[in-house]
Amino acid sequence: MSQIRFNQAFIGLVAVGVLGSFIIPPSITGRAQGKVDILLKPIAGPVRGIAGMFHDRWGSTPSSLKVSNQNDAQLASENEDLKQQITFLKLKFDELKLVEEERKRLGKLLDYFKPVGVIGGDASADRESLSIMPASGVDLSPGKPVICNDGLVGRLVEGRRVRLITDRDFIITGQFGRWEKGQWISIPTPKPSVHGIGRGAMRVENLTLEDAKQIKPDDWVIIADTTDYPDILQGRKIGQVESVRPLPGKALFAEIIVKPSVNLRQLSEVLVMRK
Amino acid sequence: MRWLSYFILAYIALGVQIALVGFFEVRDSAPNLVLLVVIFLAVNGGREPVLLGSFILGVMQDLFTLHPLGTWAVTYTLVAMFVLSTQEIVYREHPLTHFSLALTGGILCGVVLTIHGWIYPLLHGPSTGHGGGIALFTSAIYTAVLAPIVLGLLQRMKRAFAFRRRL
Repeated sequence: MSQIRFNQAFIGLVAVGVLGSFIIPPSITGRAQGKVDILLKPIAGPVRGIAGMFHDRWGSTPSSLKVSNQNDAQLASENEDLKQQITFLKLKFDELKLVEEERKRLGKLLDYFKPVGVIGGDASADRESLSIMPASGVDLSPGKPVICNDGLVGRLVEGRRVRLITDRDFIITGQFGRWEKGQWISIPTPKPSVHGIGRGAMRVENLTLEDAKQIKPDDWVIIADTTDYPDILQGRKIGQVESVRPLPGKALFAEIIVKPSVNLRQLSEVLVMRK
Repeated sequence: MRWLSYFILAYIALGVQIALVGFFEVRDSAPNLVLLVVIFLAVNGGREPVLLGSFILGVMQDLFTLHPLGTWAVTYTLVAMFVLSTQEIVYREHPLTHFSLALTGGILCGVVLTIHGWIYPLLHGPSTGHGGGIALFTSAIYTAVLAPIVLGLLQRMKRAFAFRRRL
């Protein structure tokens, strides 16, 4: 191909790239994405397995889950699961007192969700998503919530890709609470809007310092978003408060940093809603 | 350039890139291994195959990310153009060359994606999400630190690519 012809053809290609990245709506460009992730499974599967093995042996554990040995780790994990179950059941119980027919929704989580394997994470360092394996009997339509044993993971987007709650500009309405002497205590604040900020974290910045004065590190944030999430997920954990401080630039507001209990990008399996 | 070797390398780089997410991070920043492949191609190859190869590599990466299709394709094309322009003035086997090209390439990616992160939500709404920000720049430093090792290994395999440069 002559130099001029190549230049013309290449400029055309780049122009299509620019159109795709800036102008064409994501609903169109998204259709091509997430369809071929399975092709990388032969490489991504073993590499992820080996990386996970090395991480388990030498990697760092989230501070809230630091434990001395394997048995303690299992107990901590079970304890975490039980606390979540109790939070969920308590909220459900309150609801059932008012609406009797909600009783049917008190079932095991696996009645509503199916475990699906994870292929890998996002190929861009600045975005947070997981691609999941194809599976039968699950609802993979965009917007469906995806969870794990430790709480909410994210929502499905086009293709079999899960946008994580920590991805920038992911928004969810939550509620603060904490465990005291085995009792779940809700913290009365205006509804916090939890925004993903990337790098495995979320931020709440719609509460004033006065509103947030009761919130402390390690408090829980749970789902309280009845418009976008089904009842079965209300009360499920979003994350735990890492820090509370005045919001830079808006001194009357609080900046509350929230992190999931586990590193969501390391998950090997997630729970997807059944059809 | 031998395209079979190129596609095998692209496949392995993308597979490793998505597999290591969450495990191989320093301060929540991941390296960009695909960028290192682009630099490897651009530092050794001829103009036309390198530009085309970098664009295709970007399209392939776009298939495995939340960024809209075309974002990494355009970004890697710009990086390839930059590295090609330095081809005659750098010592391509030297670790410092690898480090500086990876750092500059990473920063260039960061700038393009940050600008993209400003413009895209304005056109398509904030709920589409955007990347950019500090993660890309810390990723650039991490990638640059790994560059002498990864590019050093790739340079030993360059015969498999049968690079032919224009005189």
